Amino acid sequence: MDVSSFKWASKKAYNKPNASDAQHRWVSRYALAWLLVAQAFCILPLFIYLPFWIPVLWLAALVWRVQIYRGAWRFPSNTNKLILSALSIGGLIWSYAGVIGVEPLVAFLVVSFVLKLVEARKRGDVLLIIYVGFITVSAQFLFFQTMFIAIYGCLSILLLLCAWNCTYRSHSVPLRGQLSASGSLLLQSIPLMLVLFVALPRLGSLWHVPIPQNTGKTGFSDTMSPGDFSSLSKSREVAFRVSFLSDESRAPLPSRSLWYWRGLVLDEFDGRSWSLSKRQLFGRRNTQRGVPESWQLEQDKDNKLLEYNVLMEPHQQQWIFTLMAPVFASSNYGRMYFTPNYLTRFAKPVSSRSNYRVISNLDYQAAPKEIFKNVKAQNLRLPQTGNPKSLALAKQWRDEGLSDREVIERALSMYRESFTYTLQPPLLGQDSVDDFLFASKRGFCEHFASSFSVLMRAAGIPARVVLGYQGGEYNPVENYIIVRQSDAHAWAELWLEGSGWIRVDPTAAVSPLRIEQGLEQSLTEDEKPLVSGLFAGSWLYKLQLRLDALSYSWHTWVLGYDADQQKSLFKNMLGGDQAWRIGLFFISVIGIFMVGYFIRLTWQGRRGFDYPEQAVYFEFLKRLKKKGFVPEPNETPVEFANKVALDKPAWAPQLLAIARLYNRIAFESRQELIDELKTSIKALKLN
Amino acid sequence: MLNNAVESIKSYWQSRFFRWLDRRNPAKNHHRLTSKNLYIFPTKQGLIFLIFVVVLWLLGTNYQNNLILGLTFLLMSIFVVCILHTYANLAGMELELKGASNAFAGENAEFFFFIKNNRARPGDGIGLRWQEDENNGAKIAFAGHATTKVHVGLKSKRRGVLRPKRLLIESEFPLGLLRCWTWLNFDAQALVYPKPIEIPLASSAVEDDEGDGEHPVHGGEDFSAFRDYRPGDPPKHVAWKLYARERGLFTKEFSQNMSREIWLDFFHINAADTELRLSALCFWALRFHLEDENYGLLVPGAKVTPNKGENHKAQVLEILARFEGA
Repeated sequence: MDVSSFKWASKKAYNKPNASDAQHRWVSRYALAWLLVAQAFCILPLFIYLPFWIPVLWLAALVWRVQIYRGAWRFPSNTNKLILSALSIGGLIWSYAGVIGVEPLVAFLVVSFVLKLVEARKRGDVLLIIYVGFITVSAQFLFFQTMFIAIYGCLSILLLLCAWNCTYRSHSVPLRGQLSASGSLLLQSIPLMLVLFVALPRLGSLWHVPIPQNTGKTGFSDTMSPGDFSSLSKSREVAFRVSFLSDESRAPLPSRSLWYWRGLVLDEFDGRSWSLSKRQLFGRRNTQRGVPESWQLEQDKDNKLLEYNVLMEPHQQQWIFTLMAPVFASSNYGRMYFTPNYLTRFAKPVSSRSNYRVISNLDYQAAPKEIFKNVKAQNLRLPQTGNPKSLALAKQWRDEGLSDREVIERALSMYRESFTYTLQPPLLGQDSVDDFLFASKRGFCEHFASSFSVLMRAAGIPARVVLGYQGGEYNPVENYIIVRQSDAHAWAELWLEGSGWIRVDPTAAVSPLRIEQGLEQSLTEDEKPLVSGLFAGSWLYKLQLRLDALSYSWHTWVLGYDADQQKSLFKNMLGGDQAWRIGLFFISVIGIFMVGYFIRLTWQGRRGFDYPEQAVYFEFLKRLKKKGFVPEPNETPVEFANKVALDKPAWAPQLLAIARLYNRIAFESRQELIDELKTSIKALKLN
Repeated sequence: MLNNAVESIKSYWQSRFFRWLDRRNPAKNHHRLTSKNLYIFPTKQGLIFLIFVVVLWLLGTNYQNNLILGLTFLLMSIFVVCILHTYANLAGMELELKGASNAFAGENAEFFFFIKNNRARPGDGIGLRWQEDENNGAKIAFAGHATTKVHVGLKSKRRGVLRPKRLLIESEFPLGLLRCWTWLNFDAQALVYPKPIEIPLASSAVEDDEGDGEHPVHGGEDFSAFRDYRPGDPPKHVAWKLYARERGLFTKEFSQNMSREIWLDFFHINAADTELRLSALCFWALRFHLEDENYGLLVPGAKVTPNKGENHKAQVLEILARFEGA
């Protein structure tokens, strides 16, 4: 049926007698067009993760289907179908040789989605394609979870609904009508969806599923060589976000210079790079939930604890970031345990955005009296050869009879006086510490942490390098801290008898601004473009903060909504999370919807006028009634007009015109005249 | 065996259902579709959709992906909202039976309805058909506040008076997940004429006043007189020459037409079966009507004097349709 032959405005009947149902089972032109658009929308974001030939296949299929529609080409024959499917499957095997995971499955899904559309000609085919479309939208959600992709997904669903709706139309209606029908269906479904989202119970994973491998490892690795951090510092990517739970019973948020997020402790040095010692790699894991005895954490009893929530971006590693010293950690993502180095780890790598809650004790003493011998030995160990000048320097300090504290102070003052903090340090040779301390004297945090720890070890003070993040950006919109990759940092930890493990950050000696205000502020003007941050105070910066706050709320309230949040929400809202309360809530919300709908229906029914012209005419009668003219029950409009005209001859032509107009609308179905009726009633002056 | 059992159980429940239905909705010529006579149930497609939603839910739960779960809940909500939409597509619609066109046996009788949509909401994808004829029917759509004329065909099987059982109105719009339907009883009837079958007439069937016409002759040739033109006269009989001379509009009358009288006699048809005879009578009545002849009908219990025209034809055909037995 042609669009132009469709006379919506004239409200004519479009009634096709004897049209058997079979005819309607063919795909209509509109349904096909919607389907093509919807498909493009559904698969477009996935192209990033798919082999290059799939977009090409899609374009070819698109051209083919359009040509079939135009009658230029034919539907694929069975042989062609077989060849095409074999080629595509061959292509998939070639592209994903040996890979087991989500990507090959999604690629297979997209390929079948694309190929099926070429041969779609009946309603059954279209429905199958639409279902595959919905699965494709969920594949989008597997790879992306931002708010924008959710909106984009809604758009894809709207297009799929348009295509779906069109296959069940018996007559074509204008584009706007199609869009509004599907749009209202979608919009009306959203309130109920929200109720289901909030109220339906959440279960954990029922069985193990492969997880998208797309998220590459971000952040640092478990070794540190000179130059590792300068590349990381250029990345504005978010590492994690922290929100503090603050009330009177908890410790207040410490100042920025104390935000040392510990992630890894490196205690093995090979002359150039730092790594995990064998003891850490293969040592017995502490699987108990509580703080290990070996920590020998000493604290005041009345000490206030700091409690915070960390929303972590996936980094494919087990380690997580906490403020020293964590005393409690929990997460829905998986089991967590404490390591001997005052760290917390997940039992499995963090492969999806996950949330954990930590309580830290900021006023602590870690093993102040003694540490195990083997630990002490590990933290004093230096390679047999290499960096002779550094070792000699440390020995010289000791020979001068300096105490531990004085040695530390001497080293820090050396850095303070003659070293430069820079993003672009010169390359160092095999004896990297010697090169740095005695030649280049220009370096980034890892140079300072590494050389400082070596000096301390050489001086007989147990020392190690800690990797993590320092600082973060406070977002006042939602009251949380954003920690980015550019905040990655390395510092040293020393063990002193009587004080236990203490943190010493040599970078702070060189560049106090780095610790107090962040990397950007600590750089010279010509180095600032390297980190490409936005300057605080600019409107763009504020906008960025707002956007990040929005995305943070999205992560916490939508993506992170889980059984625990559900429980606490029900506690707050309903006073408990018993099944009957939830059931009652559910039923009452549905009930409200139903009652609303029912009221709308009956209200529509009681409006009294079957047709709009009756309402217009009734207004006209009301005006005449004020002048004392009331029609008899069996008087037709024309008769009534004539009766009134006898009394008021001046109105006669207009009255008759109105009555005739009304008759034409009511009895000849000339609905288009209703505006004329309205204007002529308005034009009538009753005086 | 099993199929038979299933069929019989099905037909038993169906007949019970229809008995219950007929009590609720007696035959009328005007029906309004409301919650009292509309029924709604998921279609097969709808059940498949629900299974699909469960599968998607499993996917979302396993991946602990709230967006996929959200999509699942959205699809579930669309299903629920579809219940209202599918119902609203039919609710409030008014049907009025306006009449029926008669048919020859084996052809479709058409029943005319006015469908009034009192609401601003348009309707689409609505199917109408009679219970006993699954192959005929109409698919309609209408705009808001509009009246639509619809004809629903019903294939007639036998000659006689056709009283259709129930009218099925159904719609799966908007997504085919649910089907809303109703069965309405109408006080409807259509005449079914015998199927025209050509069987040669016995010679005595055609009675010619002049006695020389053994066979019906195509048109008359002998001009007899002019008379005033009456609307409906065949154009070829109009005296165009007189009209061209501006003498007025006249019709030429032909004597032969007036003089021939043909009797279609039930007993003069050479056939064994009553129905065959009626079919033959029907055929000849139509033939003579086309040839603009005067013809009369003689069947046991009824007699129509020779005449012509549409009304005459209708009268003759009605007698044939209603014929009850020799």
